[in-house]
Amino acid sequence: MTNKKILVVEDNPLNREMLVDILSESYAVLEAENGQQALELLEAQSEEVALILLDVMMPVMDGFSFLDRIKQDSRLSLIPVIVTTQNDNESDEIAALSHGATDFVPKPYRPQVILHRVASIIKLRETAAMVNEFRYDRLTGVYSREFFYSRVEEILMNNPHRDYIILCSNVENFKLFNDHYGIPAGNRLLQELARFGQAKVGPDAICGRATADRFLALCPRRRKYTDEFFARTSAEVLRAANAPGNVVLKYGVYDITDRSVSVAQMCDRALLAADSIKGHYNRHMAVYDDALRSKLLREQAITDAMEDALTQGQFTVYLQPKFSLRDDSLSGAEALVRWIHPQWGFLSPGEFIPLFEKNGFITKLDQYVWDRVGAVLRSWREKGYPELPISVNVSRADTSLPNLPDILLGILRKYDLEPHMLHLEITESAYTENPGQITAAVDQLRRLGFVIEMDDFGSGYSSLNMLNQMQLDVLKLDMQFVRNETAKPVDQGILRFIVGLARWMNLEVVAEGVETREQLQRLRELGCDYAQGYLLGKPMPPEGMETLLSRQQPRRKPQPAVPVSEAESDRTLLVVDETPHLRELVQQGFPQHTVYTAGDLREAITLIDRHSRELTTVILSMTLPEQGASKVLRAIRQNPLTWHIPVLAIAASGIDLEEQALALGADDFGFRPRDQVCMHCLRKRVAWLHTLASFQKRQRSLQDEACRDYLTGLYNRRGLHTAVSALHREDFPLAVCLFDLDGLKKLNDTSGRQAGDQALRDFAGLLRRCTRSQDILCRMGNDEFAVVLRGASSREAIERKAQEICREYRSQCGFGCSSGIALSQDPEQPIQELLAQADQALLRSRQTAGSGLPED
Amino acid sequence: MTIEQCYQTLGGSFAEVSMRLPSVRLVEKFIEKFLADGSFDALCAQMSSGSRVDAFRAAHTLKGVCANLGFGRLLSSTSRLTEMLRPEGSAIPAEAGPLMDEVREDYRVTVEAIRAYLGQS
Repeated sequence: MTNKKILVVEDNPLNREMLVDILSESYAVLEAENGQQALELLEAQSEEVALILLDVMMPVMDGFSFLDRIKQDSRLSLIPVIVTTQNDNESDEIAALSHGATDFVPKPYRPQVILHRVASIIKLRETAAMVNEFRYDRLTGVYSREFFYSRVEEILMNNPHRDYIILCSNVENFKLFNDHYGIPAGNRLLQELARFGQAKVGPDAICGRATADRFLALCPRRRKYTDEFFARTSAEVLRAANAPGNVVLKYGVYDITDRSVSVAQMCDRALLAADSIKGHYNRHMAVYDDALRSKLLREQAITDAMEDALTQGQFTVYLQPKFSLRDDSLSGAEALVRWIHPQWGFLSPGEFIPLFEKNGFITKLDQYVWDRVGAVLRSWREKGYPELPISVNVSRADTSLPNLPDILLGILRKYDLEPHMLHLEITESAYTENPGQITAAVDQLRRLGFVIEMDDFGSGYSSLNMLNQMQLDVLKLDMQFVRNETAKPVDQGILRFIVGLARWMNLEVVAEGVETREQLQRLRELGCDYAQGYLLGKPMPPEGMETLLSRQQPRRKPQPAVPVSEAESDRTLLVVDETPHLRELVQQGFPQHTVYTAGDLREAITLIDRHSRELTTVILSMTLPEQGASKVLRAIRQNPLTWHIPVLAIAASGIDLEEQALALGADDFGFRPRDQVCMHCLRKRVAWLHTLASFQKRQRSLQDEACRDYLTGLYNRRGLHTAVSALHREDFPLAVCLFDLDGLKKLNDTSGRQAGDQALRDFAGLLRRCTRSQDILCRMGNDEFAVVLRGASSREAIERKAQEICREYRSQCGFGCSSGIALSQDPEQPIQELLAQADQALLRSRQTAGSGLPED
Repeated sequence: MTIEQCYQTLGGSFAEVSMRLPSVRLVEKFIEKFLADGSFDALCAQMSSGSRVDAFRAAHTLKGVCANLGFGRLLSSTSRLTEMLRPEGSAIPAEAGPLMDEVREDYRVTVEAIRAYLGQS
């Protein structure tokens, strides 16, 4: 109670002091000698004053004038005022009440009476304020949902014979509106919609706000409600509310025929009716009826069955082939999920997919499909089919999964696939719902090597801005868009423009839903790259696709787990041999290859330098003069661009140089062919070496991938251990510096994961800038980084460096960063021990700030 | 002189006052403050100035103070003077002069009783 303030306005000091005496035990008391002084006091403390005790007769500004002034001021008008009067003067009391006083107390002052009245009035005011708070929605001023419910109950009870409806309105894509125009504009729109909506339903109706953009009204049933009526109403309300042209209102109606249904349920049904026409362009209103009820029951049944369906394998993946319009070849497929329920039979994806998108199950189903597609791609590879990519769906909900890249990479690892084999389809509507999130997810996936397709382009609010914001690879034109556009005369429509734009943006264009030869012909003329549709091939089980694959191209020899080799024409050979005959033989024997020839060491070194990026295999004579073979091999192995190129060492038969060749670092050894007949042996060896090299390349890339933190590109823990294990004695003394970033969780919570990820990337960039190329950088975990510095002889220098990095981070992000350092002279000391020491130092430095060195 | 005798002298009832002001110390504090209160002097000044409105406001204030302190005798004369000055009109009615004398006398008695009580204690 003591924190409540009471303002005593009384000119006579003795009377004032008496009042202060009475009140000060229970309240904080402010004093003013007259109305003017009281107004000045209130100017500064109006929020805090719970009640005013006011004398009438005062100089400067009397009590009545003061009352008139505060009643005109909205900030002050709600503060209750008790007027002190002489007990023999009724006219003062009447005048006080007519000027807006809440109550009066007579003189002589009776402490108990005053305290009681003051307490009751303050309580009454607070309760009223609270009731108001609960009763009205703060933003829009219509009833709050709870109060709306209780008012509906009351009205229905008092009017048992009158017919009513519950009407619900819903702003379609309101989140998008907020995102586009900002929250304040969104709030203004809601306020205006509430105002004009309330005016539109009339005085017989009551209005409430259910949730963000959903309003409710209870209206007497007057007419048969038609869609045209609501289309007009919607247009009028939106016009009056000055809403932008793309705002759409949907209405749901629940006809109250059964009053035993709870009001909350009635409102839910009206809301469900409105939801049922979400996205239907030409529908403005839906009535909750038996059909909708059955639909909802069916949805419930599907929801109940979905988990079992997944575990029992009721979902199967079908593939719809995609063809290149350049040469009509099969170029890939799109994975589509099918559900065959043991009782219900085939369920349309159009029925269950939107439902799964709503209830979140879609993420599980998508992951199941990705996994199955991985298995299909792997089996094709094992069976020797040409490796064609398969497009899979990535739903909006998937893009909010923090570990989405890990899940996808996990599938690639499981089936030994490359990222470009999985094309990821992001739907256009997902972008419009949450552009920031999708863009970030797409960027990340694309960096990992996945091919990104924008699905359903042209079906919704396609925007050029979207194409500009997102890094895409493929534009998939929506089925209906393709049908509409190809039905238009050649010189009309925007398909030509879209294809041209895609070409300009280096995007490939896939047309979906191609059903007729005319459509296909038109797409071909427009320069569309790929097409899919019933005309070309219906969705089919993977086995069906295998038939197509085998027809498409002769089957290769099965190549288990060996990556796709480049075409032979892409291979470049270097032959280093002292005999012109051999050089000529190779040139003739590898007609598909580009062959460079060198007759001596000097020529060989020149060609290796010149063609370091193209060379795929080197054939090297072990009998090259001046110990040329070992020098050429050393040159190849020391060059970072060529060290991985396979070298086939050759010598004339009868000369036993195999052991020496392999000791020098050649990958294989063969006998120099005498003629073309013997060339097949050399060709076989070269082919084998090439396959081996491709395999090693892939292994390196996988190893690199497994050793890298995908977010920052730095090493992960595994990478750190691999890199550290390759350190030499001369790299010592070694310093390990651990960094721990503060405030990352807060940043994630307040600004979203994207901002947190960006901070991590920024810190990684900072480490790269502040360290030398030979230092090892690693992201150890969430917000923990490690730097291993080679040849770190000075503790002070390392400490200064760590402090500089922390300082820089603080000035970049505003958050702190702690560091801990450990040094080692001993090449035998395990890295774990050093990391543990640095961690201890980090702990200590967190307590003291700055960087800390472990105690010796 | 006891506080009861004091109140008896100034025409009030300590029993009534003590119901509102719960301790003798508090009553003493306020009656002492009355000696320094400017309401009576203000009334005298306004009566001499001849402004009815100002004289009415001063009489009203003194009346309120007397009511709060339970000064029966002074309250009675001040109340009558207040009512005499209440009706609208610019001048102070002639009958107010003798009534003001009565107020002065009652004020003197009240102040003397208070001084007598406080002087003893």
